This record gives sequence, C-alpha cells and structure tokens, in this order.
Amino acid sequence: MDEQVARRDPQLADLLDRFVCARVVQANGLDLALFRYDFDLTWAVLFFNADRTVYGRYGTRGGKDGGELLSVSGLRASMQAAHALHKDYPGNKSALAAKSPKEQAHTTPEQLPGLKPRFKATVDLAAPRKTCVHCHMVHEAQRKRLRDAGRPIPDEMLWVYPLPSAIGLDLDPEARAAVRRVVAHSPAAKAGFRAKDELLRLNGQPIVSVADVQWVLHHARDGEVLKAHFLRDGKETHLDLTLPACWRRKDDFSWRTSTWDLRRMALGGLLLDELPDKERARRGLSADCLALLVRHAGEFGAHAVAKNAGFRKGDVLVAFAGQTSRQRECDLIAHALQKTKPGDKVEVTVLRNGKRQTLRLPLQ
Amino acid sequence: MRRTLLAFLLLANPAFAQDATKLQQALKDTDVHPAWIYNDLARGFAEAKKAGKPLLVVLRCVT
Repeated sequence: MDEQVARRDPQLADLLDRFVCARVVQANGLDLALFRYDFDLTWAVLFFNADRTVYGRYGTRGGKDGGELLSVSGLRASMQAAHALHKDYPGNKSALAAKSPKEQAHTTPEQLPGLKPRFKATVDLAAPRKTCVHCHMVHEAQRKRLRDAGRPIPDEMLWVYPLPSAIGLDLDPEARAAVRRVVAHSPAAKAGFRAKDELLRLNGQPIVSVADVQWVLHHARDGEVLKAHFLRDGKETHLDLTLPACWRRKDDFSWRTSTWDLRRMALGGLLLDELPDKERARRGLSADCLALLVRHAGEFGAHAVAKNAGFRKGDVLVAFAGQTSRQRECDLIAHALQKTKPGDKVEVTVLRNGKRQTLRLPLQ
Repeated sequence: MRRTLLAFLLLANPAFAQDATKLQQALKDTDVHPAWIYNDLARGFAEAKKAGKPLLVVLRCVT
C-alpha cells in the first residue's frame, strides 16, 4: 500500500492531485496536539485543512499482518469523503471540532517521560535508526508514566482505537465505512445495524473511514449512547448505539508493537498464545480454564525477568495471580496492570512435561 | 509575509527544518514520487493554504 501511494499509483493519482501531499517518516518533533491517531500503525493518513482542522484519518490494523484492513479502493473512498468535507468547509467546522487539535501535556514525543532525554527533536543522520522516535513509543511512554507512578492503566489506554468488531460491526475495508456483517446479539445488532448500511456520522462526527469510526470509539465511554447516521437503501436514517460495560474488551491488543512493553511490565517478557482446544484436551485441561502457552521468553535485560524466574518456552500457564479462568494474553496483561504494582511478585502455576509447578514472577 | 511565516514555522518545529533530502537518503526511502513534500509539514500546510487544497499527510515508519 505504501509503495502504491508513494509512487502515485495510477489508481490514486487523480485523487492525489486534489490534495497537497506530505510524507512524514519520523515522530521526532511531531506535534502531538495535531497528530492524534493510532500510534501502533506503521502507515497512517491524516487529512487536514490548511488551518489545521482535521477532516479525518485513514489506516486500520487488526493483526500481525499490517495490510489486510487497507485497500486502494478504501483509501480512494476516504480521500473522496475528505475532499467533500473540504468543499463544504468552513460550514461544517463545528462538526469537525472533536477530530481536531487538542492541547497535550507534552507537545512532542521526545518530551514524554522515558523518551526524554534519549531522543531529540531531529534524527541524527549518521544513525537514523537509533535516533528516530517510533510512533508506538508514544503509547508506551504514556502507559509507563502511569505504571511507574504505581497507578493502574485503564482499559482506555490498553484497548486503544478499538476495531468496530468490538461492538459487532464488521466494516468493509474496500469501502469508506460500509457494514459488511453484523454479529448477532452484539451492541451493533441490538442497536439495529444491518449489512450494507453506510455510516455517515457517528456521535456527530463525519466519518471518512473505518479509522474515523475507531477514533469515535477510542473516545467513547462504557454506557455512552452514540447517535449513528447512515445510508440504508439510499436513504439517510439514524439509530442509537449503546456501548455496554467493558465493550472494549472484545478487542485484542496483542498484535500491537507497544504491547511488547506491556509484556515486560506484566509478564516479565513472556509472549503467550492461547492453547488450542485440541491441545487442551490432550493435556487434560477443560475448555474454560486458563491455558496460555509460552511461545517466547524474553532473553535480555528487563524482558528476561520471567526467564530468570524459571519460566521456559513451552510452559502452559494455568494460574496467574489467582486467575484460573479462560483468558487471552491481553486480558491477563490488563489484570496484572490494573491489580498489581511494580515490585509485586505474583504466583504463577505452569504445566511443564505434564506436571504442575508454581513459580514466583516479579512484576515491573 | 509568506516567507516570514514559513521561517517562523520552521524555527518553531526544528524536526521539520532538518534537510529532508539528506534524511530521505539516510533512511533509504528513495522510491517516492517527487510530487510528495518530504518530511516538511510546515511547507505542506503553507502549500495547502496557497493552493486552497486539503493536505494529505502520510505517516510512515521506515526505520
């Protein structure tokens, strides 16, 4: 995708001509009030007016493969929608207010605790890879600040920019924001969404992409009711979408680069996978109990804490700080980061060579 | 007036006052069409204002 855009692929050139196009390759010096987006993305687009009003965002990821939720047709649709907002501007300025710049406690990434003074406002051209602030470091620095202060990291800072699937909406990556499928009994289904609905506005904000839906969800709270305007069979209509308690937890943040640092804090550097049901049965574990397989144990520095405490690749975690029910890695990380403090030691039971063994894991 | 504004913006944000061509070469991010404004947001906003067009910014981690 990046190559096609950077080379001005003929499929995009006509639309790119309607914009002034800029490519930014570093987060050093990035204005955090202006650039508020999912920092775990390695490729993202923001659309602006010259007065710095944000028209919208494009770029969505939901797994290890970074490209499956991106498409040329989806980007084209977003560019067309952003350009339509530009044509209507400034008549629509108030509707765009919630998308636009907002003052932040730290104006640029290199001023964030943990990144200062390691990084500067510019990249050292002699060593660009070592001195470039990576976007995901912003999420990491924001969370580390809370953790180091002994405060719990809330759901909103763990399940960031939730995919619409968290509320049961499967949006088509080939379109702007069209519903491909609605999961039965989900908040989206209860609200009345149907396949082929095309979202126009959510919570009053014009929607130019799936990323814009994520933007609204990112800022929404449990119990909030979002007014959704959409096209159905060519006619504009609306409904109320109620977000139930803990709705974000349907999403999974394990794919995120910034989760690497959460694993350091919560798991001593372990990378965990859910044990498949067949393997559970083979090892005598029920379908509803905790069973997370150690795929990797960090080997260096602060990421080797679990290894140094005796954990090994191939162990299966069956109890963690009193948690014994079935959970994903991200749920366990959240539990640790919300219920413990750095320096605590938790008891973890692992299954190794058919035998249970309890180890003590120091948390960071 | 426009030059003064541009100079102010560049000074206000030193990251984007860095030599964009040298950075592009250092990162080996050279397969980019020349129509793109490279790593220079101040210029991007200034040109969007001048042209009356919206600004499209691609954020790309290349390291």
